[in-house]
Amino acid sequence: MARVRVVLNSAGMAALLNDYGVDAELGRRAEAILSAQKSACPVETGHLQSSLQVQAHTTDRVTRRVGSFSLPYGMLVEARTGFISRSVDAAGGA
Amino acid sequence: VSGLLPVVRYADPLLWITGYIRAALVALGKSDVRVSDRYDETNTDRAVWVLPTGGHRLTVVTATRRFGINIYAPGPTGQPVNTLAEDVRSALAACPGSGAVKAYTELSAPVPIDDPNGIPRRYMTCEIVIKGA
Repeated sequence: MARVRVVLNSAGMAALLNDYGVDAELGRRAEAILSAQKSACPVETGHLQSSLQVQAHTTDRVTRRVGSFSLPYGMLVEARTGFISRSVDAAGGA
Repeated sequence: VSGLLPVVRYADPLLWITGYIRAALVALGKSDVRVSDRYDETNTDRAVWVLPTGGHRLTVVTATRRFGINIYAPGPTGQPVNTLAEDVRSALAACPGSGAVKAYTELSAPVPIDDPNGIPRRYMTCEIVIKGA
C-alpha cells in the first residue's frame, strides 16, 4: 500500500497564524469571553471587575489574553468561584 | 421525545471526579484527605475541593467538562501541599479509560493561592472528555 507523506508548509502555517482574519476572529471571541467574565465576576468593590481586560499578545502568532493582570487577589477569587474558567465557553466552538 | 438524533445522557462528572480523586488518594495511603465539591471556609486540614466550571458538547455522544481543583495541606512549608497537589495531578493525568472518561487535559498546573485561613493552598484546572450513553 502506498504511504502518504505529509509535508507541513511551515511558512504557510505561520502566515495563517498571523492572518488578519484569524486576528479578528480571536478578538471577537476574546470580547465574548470578557463580557462573560464581567457578568460572572463577584463584585464587592468593583476593582476586580473593572480590571478585567483583553490583551493582544503576539508571540509567533496572534493571541489574546483575557482576565485581570493587575490585582493579586484575582487568582483567589478565581480559585473560589471559577468565574474565569466558566467564561471560556463564551468563546463558542470551532 | 423523538428526533433525528438519539437522546444521550452523561453520568455525573462531578461525582465521578471526586470519587476518582478520593480512590487515588486512598490507594496512596491518604484516606484522611477530604475530597468534596463543597467549599468549607473553616477548613484547616488536608483537603481537595473540586469546583465544576462548565463544558460543552463535542459530538452527539461526547462532551467536555472543566473543573477547578483546590488542594489544601497544612505545614510550615509548601512541601506537603505540593506533594498532595502532585498526587492529585498525576492521578488525574492517568484517568482516561476510567468510567466514561475518554480524554484528559491539564489546563493549568497547580499554582499557589493565598488562602484567607493561611493554609497552604494550590489551584489547578483541567478538562475531561466524557462519552454518553
